[in-house]
Amino acid sequence: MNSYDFVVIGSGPAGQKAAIQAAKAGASVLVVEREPYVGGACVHHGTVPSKALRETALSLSSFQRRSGSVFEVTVREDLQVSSLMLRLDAVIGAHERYISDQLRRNGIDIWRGKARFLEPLVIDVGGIDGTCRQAQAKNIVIATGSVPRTPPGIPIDHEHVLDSDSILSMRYLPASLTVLGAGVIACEYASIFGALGVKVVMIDQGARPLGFFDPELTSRFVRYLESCQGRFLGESRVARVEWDGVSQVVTELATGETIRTEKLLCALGRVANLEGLDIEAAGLAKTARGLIEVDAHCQTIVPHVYAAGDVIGPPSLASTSMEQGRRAARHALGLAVDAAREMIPLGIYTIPEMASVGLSEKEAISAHGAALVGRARFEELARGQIAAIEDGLLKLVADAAGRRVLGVQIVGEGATELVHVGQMALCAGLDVDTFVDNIFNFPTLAEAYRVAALDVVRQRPAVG
Amino acid sequence: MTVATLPEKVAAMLRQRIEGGTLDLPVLPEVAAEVVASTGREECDLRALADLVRRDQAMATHFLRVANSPLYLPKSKIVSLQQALARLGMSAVREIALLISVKTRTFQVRGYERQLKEQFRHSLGAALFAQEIARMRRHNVEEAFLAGLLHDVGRPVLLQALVDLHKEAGLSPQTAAVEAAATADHAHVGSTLMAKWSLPASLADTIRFHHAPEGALSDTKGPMITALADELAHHTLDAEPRDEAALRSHRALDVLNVYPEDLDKLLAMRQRVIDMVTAIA
Repeated sequence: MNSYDFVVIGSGPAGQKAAIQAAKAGASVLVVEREPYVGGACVHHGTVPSKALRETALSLSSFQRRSGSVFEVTVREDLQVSSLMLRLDAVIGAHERYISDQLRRNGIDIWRGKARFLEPLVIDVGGIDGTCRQAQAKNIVIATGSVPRTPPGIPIDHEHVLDSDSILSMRYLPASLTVLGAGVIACEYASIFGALGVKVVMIDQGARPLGFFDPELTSRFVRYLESCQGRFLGESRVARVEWDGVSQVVTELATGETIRTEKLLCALGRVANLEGLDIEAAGLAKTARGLIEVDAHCQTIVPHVYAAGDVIGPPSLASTSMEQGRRAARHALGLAVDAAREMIPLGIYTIPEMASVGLSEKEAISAHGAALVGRARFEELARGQIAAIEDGLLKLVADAAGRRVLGVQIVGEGATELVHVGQMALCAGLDVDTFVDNIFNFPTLAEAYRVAALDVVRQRPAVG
Repeated sequence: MTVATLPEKVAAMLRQRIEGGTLDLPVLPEVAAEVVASTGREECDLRALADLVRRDQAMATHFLRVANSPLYLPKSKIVSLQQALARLGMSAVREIALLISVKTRTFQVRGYERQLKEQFRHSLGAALFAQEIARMRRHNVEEAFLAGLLHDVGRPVLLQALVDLHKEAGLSPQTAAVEAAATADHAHVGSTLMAKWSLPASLADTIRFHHAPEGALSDTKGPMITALADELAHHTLDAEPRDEAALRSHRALDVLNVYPEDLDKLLAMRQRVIDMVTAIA
């Protein structure tokens, strides 16, 4: 049997960082990956390919908008979805090579196969050719990611009714698409396909998409979807989904209304990918939500067995998964672990983009009793006008005195980049006046911070 | 081209037809009759008609041809049967199916009916396995099904051509020679027909390379799925039992990341495939 200091199951963002951290600390490390490539769903099914498609959709819609509709941009109906993901193979290849090189450079062994626990610190790895080998470890990190949830009654066949792992296998753009769900993945794909000319109908039980997000931001997302001939049907319960056997997927709502579209995307959440892992043999059990429970150091109830990334549940972001993997490895190896970062920015790659860091207006009021909110609309910024980014908004949330910055929420092109300015201000404990007193480049979207800060200053309660 | 075992005159005529692109893909007489009967009924069962078109090798090919022809002036190229059904509407689908059944020649291969029937059964079996492999690996299911269905389309084309050419030459066909010629050239003839009829290039590529998928010009995954499905269909439907060890070491398993337990799941579908093929083909 092979012995390692550290075995990592899965090579997505959490697995990679755990493995590299452990190797850098001098540990002997094995990574087990069931796919022929490293990187996980993030690189091959999820984040990277969907962002590649989004980039094309965004370029098309931005070009039309910026050209003042001088040029008409239409997408050929027969265009292959894969051909819209321009440079995808190159992007994935480069990313995969980078990860793979980094793992090998750090002396990490990679076994291709399916891992299964035999004991808490012993795994069996079944290879693609049917051969098996065992590995024993002093520490194990489970970083097997997640798979799309298949709700009962939704006949996902990956042909007419697809999930977020199969949606990008479509060869041609459908004329219409139903999207079940209103979470991050549902909203991202709905707006991407809407921008590409597909008539999208989103259906969700919630009143609005992205219920955890500021409604002032999400209403702009709905407005965009409607501008693309799409619809959002909130507070709607799906009674039945069926392919009609000819050409349409029929979705029947509890109200009796039926929606017929060429394809349907089911994006009703993801669940931990624990199939075949036999975590019970390691002394672990799934939570009621199908996840692995861990403490602040990503340690499970079994000593020396850790879990990181999507298998432990929200926020399930590549960025947080990487940090969890790194922290798990450091804790396992007895290295110093700094306090967990609470200031995690959230970026949603819808069209328009949305981002948030710190407290929202509602959370600030709930936590502090009151808040002052400064707003900057992108149409008021020179850069917004020049680039025709008109439906953007930045909200700067401050305490009731209008001094301390508590949070930032942004919708509009560039939101996922702009949010980091607010994040740094929050980390450094800067006050609202910092944005007023400093000079920003002109014309930039970052000026929105100054405009929003001035709006807060304007609302400050009179002194004395 | 391997037509050496054929009479020289027939081999030369066949070569000429392949090069000239004048080969025919007839439809099965019973399928044509079923389409005519189905479309003639007042209450035409569109679902059954769509199924018929989708699952028959010759109907599917001609359907894509006609749907892309100037007769229907599609706004853009139709690349899949599903897309055609969705875009053209059912009245056009009825019309096209009827047109194919009435206008296309039906197979006349006296003495080779059994081979032809087996060929159609095998194609449908391969299509059914291909769509399951695609589902498993999150590859495009429509494309995999169509490629599985049409991967051997050159074989019935050659069979009909060879029967015709022997007749024209006043010769009696030798079964072994006809079958050997149909086998040797089917991938080349099938892909040439796809290209000539302007069907999707990826389909022509898959048909051409389904016995040597590593050589595919574009993505090798599609041809790999077809190659594995082809092998599974042989295992399931052939009268002669095949060696399972060869299937378990098939080169496509590694490329497609199909683990032994995944292959077991595919093999567990065998009875279902037999039942479906028996019911339809």
